[in-house]
Amino acid sequence: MKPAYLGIDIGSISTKGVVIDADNNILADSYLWTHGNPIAAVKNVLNELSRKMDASYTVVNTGTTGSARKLIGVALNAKVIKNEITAHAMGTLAVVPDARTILEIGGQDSKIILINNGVVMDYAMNTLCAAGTGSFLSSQAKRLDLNLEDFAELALSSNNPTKIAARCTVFAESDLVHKAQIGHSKADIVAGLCRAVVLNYLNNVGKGKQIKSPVVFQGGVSKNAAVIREFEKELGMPVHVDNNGHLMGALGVAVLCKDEEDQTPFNFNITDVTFETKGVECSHCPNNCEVICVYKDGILLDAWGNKCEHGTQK
Amino acid sequence: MTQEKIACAPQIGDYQVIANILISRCLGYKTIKCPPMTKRTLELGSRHSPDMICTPFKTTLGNFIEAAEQGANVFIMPGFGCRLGLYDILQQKVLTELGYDCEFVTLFEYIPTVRRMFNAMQEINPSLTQEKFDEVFALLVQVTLDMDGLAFFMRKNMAFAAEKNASQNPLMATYKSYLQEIPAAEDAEAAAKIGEKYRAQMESVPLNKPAKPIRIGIIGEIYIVVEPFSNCNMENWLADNGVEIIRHSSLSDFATAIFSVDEQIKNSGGYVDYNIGSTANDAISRAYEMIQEGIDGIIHVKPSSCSPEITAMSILQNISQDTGTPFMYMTFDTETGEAGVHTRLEAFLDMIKMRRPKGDYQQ
Repeated sequence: MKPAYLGIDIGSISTKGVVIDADNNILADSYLWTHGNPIAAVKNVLNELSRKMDASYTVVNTGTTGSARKLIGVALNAKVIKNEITAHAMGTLAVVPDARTILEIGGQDSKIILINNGVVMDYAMNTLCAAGTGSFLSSQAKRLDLNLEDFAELALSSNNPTKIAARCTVFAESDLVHKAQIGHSKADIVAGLCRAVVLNYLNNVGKGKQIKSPVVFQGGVSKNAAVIREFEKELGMPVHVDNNGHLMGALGVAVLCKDEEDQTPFNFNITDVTFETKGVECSHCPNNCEVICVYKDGILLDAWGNKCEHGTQK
Repeated sequence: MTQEKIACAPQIGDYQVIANILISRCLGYKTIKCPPMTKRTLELGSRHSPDMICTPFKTTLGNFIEAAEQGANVFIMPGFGCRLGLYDILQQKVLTELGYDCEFVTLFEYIPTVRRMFNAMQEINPSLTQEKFDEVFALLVQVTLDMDGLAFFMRKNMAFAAEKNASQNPLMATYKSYLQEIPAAEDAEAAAKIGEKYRAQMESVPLNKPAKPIRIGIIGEIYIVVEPFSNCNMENWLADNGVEIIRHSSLSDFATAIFSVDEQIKNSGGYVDYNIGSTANDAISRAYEMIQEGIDGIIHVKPSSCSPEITAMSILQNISQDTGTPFMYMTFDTETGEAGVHTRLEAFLDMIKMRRPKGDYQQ
């Protein structure tokens, strides 16, 4: 039996899974929508991975990342539960060892990671506001009655992007409506939106950071060729987008699993087990902490979310 | 019949202890602590505040509303500084409109000097003598210095307490007992004795501290730095994850910092040559000092829309770029989701660990 490592990235929009061998080669991968049900999504991802995987490998350790990393980590007994920033950096370095800058724009957050000699030197993440992320582009696409694929294509056809206020999504939206009503073409407006996303990102997330080549661009928005074009124009350097860019978080935790001393073989039969979660509101004080309890086949596995000792599970 | 005066200071870390000593001894008022801050405090404070005002206005207003519900009718505010200097006037208006009959004690009028504090106290209580005030003031100085000294020691060592099983960190437990005991201290001398006792107790807590632990500095706007509810308990998270915390910001630091801006400018390595306002110059010079002492990383915190600290940030970015020291900037408003804060802290800590030779921070 050859050892393999499982990494799962459970994001707000999509759930990604990879199985790698000891040399970081991807043996199987899966990419599905989360649809607001991370446990069901992970079961589907696991089913797909187990179908695709070569039977001569055994998964000897598991890691999770993404916003549901804790919930799924507990359910799967994962030994590595890592934040998505570290995971993305590790995954990217496994594929592009000389990367210096990682730009990432996801569904509701965006970040920048600066690397020197394979070591993360600096990073930043959007803080209070989700302006200029994927959800902004998809809501504007809906407003203009376009699907996301046509959106990028239409944007690329324009050489004259309309200027759209980039600082804030709400202002951008009213600016967009105004520009449309005074007669700017749809193609120019769409190109302007892509440009606004880039300017917003560089002004907020990338503020004060020195972006050095090679630059790798990831996250859902990296599938939009028009945004890539605007980044290259603005930075004056090539921007690499890997076909597996969406898998980097999952790959990163799988890579981290290899170094973990505590190795726990993974059984794909877990998809037959029922997991249940229950949110209980602790009413001891006006904090009303939401305590999450996770049950495996009816037995309480873990609980968290309480801010003080009063909130310990009922 | 006149109503009994019940005074209350806002929750700013543990400093209600200090305000209550001052008010009870100089004015003879009964003092209470406002109820510990919760989501309800934030909701009440935000609902009755202008949306774009700085966060501490909202949270301290929430404190006052909850204290008024418990009978408090005298509120304490410093009355100088940035926008902070005008909080009392606006908050009194809001509270009056909400139907709470209350008065405010403004400790200083625009300029923080001991003289002005005495004047403010004497105006309310004409029988207060200079001698009595001096005695109380000496006590306040002693308590503030002891308290901040204990807390500084605690932050540096909390992560390394050998006894991990206790429900509360033994250093934290010692500090809390000090806060319990100190309000009864008769004078500065008695307070110093209590301080010494707890200092000895703290220093005797067994530690397992590596030779070169990960050290993270915390700088920024003083309210958010010292008020754990407002910064999502950042320091506890760092301590739980094995970090030595270097944080100078405290009431005693603040009291000297506001009078030593020239010195701070001199100690900023030439990165800033003017007074930015509030404690922004202190943040910059502290950051510069920590870097000279080989800090691993610095976290800068501020409330949303705090202009002095926003100015400091661009200067800190230059320092970060030139020295290669990683900085993380955190802005807090009235959100209570801790997950996002913990994600960022964990990533910052992972990054710092990767920059160090493998595992050297554990030996």
